[in-house]
Amino acid sequence: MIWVAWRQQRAQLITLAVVSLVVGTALAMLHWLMLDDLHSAEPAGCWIQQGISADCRKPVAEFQNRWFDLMKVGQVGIIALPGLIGLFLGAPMFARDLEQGTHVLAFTQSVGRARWMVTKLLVGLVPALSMLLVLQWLVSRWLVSARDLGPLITGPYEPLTFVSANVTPLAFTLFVFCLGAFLGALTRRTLSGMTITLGVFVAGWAALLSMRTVWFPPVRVLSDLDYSPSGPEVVLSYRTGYVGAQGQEFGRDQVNAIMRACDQPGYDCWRGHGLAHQFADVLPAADAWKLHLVEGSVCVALAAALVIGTFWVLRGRV
Amino acid sequence: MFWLMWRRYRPQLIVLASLLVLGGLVLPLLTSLVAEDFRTLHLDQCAGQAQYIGPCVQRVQAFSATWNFWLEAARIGLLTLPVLLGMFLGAPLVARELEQGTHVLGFTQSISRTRWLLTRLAVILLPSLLLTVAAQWLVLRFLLAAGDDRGPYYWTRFGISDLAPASYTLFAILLGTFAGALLRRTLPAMVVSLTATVAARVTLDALHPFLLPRRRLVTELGGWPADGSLMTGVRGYLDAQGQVLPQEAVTALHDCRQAAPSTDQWACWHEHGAVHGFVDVIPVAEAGTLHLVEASIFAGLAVLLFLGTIGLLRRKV
Amino acid sequence: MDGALSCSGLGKKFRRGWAVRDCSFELPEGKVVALVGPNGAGKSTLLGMAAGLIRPTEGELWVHGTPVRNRTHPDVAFLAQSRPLYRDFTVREQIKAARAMNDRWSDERVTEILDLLAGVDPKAKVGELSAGARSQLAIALALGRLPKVLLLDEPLSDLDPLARDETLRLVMTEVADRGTTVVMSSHLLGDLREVCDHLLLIDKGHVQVDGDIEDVLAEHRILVGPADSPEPEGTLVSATRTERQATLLMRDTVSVPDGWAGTEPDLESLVMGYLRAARGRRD
Repeated sequence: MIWVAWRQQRAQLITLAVVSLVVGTALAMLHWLMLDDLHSAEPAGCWIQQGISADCRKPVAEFQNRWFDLMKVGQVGIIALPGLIGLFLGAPMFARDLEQGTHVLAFTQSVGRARWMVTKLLVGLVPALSMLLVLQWLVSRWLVSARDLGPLITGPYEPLTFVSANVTPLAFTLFVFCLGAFLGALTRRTLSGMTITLGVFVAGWAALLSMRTVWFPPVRVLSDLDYSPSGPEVVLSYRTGYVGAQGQEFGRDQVNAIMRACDQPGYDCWRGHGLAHQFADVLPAADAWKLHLVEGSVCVALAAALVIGTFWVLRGRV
Repeated sequence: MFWLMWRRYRPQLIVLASLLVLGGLVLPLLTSLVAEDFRTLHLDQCAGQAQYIGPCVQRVQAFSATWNFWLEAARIGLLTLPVLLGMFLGAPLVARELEQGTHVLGFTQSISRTRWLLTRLAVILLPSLLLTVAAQWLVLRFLLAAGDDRGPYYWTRFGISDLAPASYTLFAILLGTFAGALLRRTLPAMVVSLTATVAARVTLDALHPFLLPRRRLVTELGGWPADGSLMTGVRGYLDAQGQVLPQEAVTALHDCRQAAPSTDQWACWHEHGAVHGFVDVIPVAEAGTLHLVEASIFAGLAVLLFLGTIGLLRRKV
Repeated sequence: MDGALSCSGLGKKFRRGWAVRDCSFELPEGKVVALVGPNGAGKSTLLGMAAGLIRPTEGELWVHGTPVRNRTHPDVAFLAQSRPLYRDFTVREQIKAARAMNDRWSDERVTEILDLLAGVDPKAKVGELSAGARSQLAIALALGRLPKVLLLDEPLSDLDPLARDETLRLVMTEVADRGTTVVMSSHLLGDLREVCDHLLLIDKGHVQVDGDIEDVLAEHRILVGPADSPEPEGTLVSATRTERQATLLMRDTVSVPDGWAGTEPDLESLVMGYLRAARGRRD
């Protein structure tokens, strides 16, 4: 049975293997080239910057010109992978059988529908997830080695960083893959299944990011008027604003009116209007793993529901 | 004939129309919201000056915390739209017919194979181009309302401005069609179409510095042209006579940098003969020409792919 | 070249070898031609080339004297074995689609045929029709082109006996009314005998028999005799032998020798004889 499932998806799985090999090699090479650049050229001393010194500004800019976007592309690749896997492996999984009528062949043998379905899913999923893990590991190694000069400087909650790190890609891949399989079984058309999968993939990605503020109660951080509380880069800001000396919040309109009234530099005028601190309701950077875990679990639960749904749809198919 | 094509590609055309409607509703809404935010935060005062100190810091930060994601998403969406159109509309265009054998139905009637291909290409291509151009207009309006001021050569900017999206869509759809005619199977054709369109975009991006004549820009030592010109990768130092400093002298500068404390670096460099720096660039003003050149390349490739598809269809059963 | 459909030195080579080779024939106008041969003999390839779908590797093909080059001749209609139809169209939409793709077209002819053939609902989706109804729709679409040469690849394979009878009668009417030449490949020899008047038997891409059925049958004899008697004169096509008795299909026998009983074969036994010979050659 495993052989049959493998034989049916051979082309996709071989493509997957070749792509992983090529991309993996390219990532390793980029990593190596970047390290070389980092060590041989100037930025070496500028690695950890407490405010970029004048000496560092140019070499850092040049280094980032060469590498920053490339590293972002690496992150985008990890984000796109779940979509590609769901689209090209998940959606055609049952749709192609139903389209070509070959499911009848499987249904009329002694192997049960559940076993047929689970075997097919696993033969597609296991290689796909392994590929994802390997590539994700290569990308994260590469990004980590760029230290503060790479995209990781903006903290774990930066959208691209968040969706391409920790267990999120794995769980999301599982979800999109099962979604593709379900939609393929439902529509019985490869192309329709793929199109809808793509749509839900994009929507799911947006949901993953916009739901982040739902799961945990925020921590309120106060700071002086002239700089924001630890900046948006290391924490996930739920809400920011201004408070008075007693901690009472100022509405956005009030703040806008004050800002308009105080045109001169400095904050004395602001204080005169009663503003005392900036505040931010945040999730600290150190709690990122909790968020990954929660959103990952949601994805896995949805994937499980979709597998059950797929089975339910397939059982009803002639 | 057009009725037939409409009937045959109804789902695809409906999806295109819904995308157009969705974009037409969401993007203007976002545009007005972002413009409102831009206004209330007085970001026009922050443009180009003192973004890192003073009251602008909070305002810029507050603005980008809300909007950066949407702006980035709009850019990436418009960049990938042609790729998706090529993959989902171009690749199945011929491949699905060949796969299901319905091409036999068309080939055994009075219409010629060229006309058979042309009508279905037109029915898919024209709405796709319309969607691309409309999306481009909406997205650029959105980005401009957010004060987006990256130079015209920045890769997420170049790929979404001027002729780039339309020519890329034209190319992607014809590439998909060709892949479908060649491979005769939808799924492989889609994979090939995805890979090849992305590869073509990346290759052309890498070729940009070689497509137009370069101009030499003389800078101060340690200076950096920040007007958004396209860097060609050629750079170095000039001596007092305006001659390019030879490679040995540049290597010597390296030692100078390590030896001297940072304060008198430039004096040390002067001693070694480096008076100015230079970079070879393609100026900002040339962006339109570069778009024209790139679009011609894509259009030329599209014509070749069209001819190739016709050739394949003539040869095949 | 004269004749409704003719070819000379026609051959088609696929990657795995020659499907049709060295075919030359001239099919007379207004006949119903039975194209028979074992599975994989090259029947579909031959019809595909006649329809302008498959480009011959060598040789040429003519329809009413005009060469067929890489597109379907305006006077030819072709029913492909795979019955290519848009499965998500309704029957009415499918007919409209075919009209859109043709210069010469008759909607009346199509509806007339579908009415005659009893029971293809014009509002039903093509993909939901039975295989037989799909075949009938495809035949109706082929006739809607008002062809002078009608190529049918296995037109009867999906049909029940009644529908088969209706379809054959339809083809006969077509020939009688419009003088259409019909080339029909089929394995159902009993049905073919009733309507066909010309036989084209091919094997391994070569023409084995080409001629008017009456003439062809008259040329052949089935001889039955004792197993140990010497073989009679003439060309032996194939033989079946049991311990005591031999049955031979002979071509161009002058006379029936002593000890043998000779009869004229019917179409079925003639074709069976050739098919058996083909299998013998293959082994």
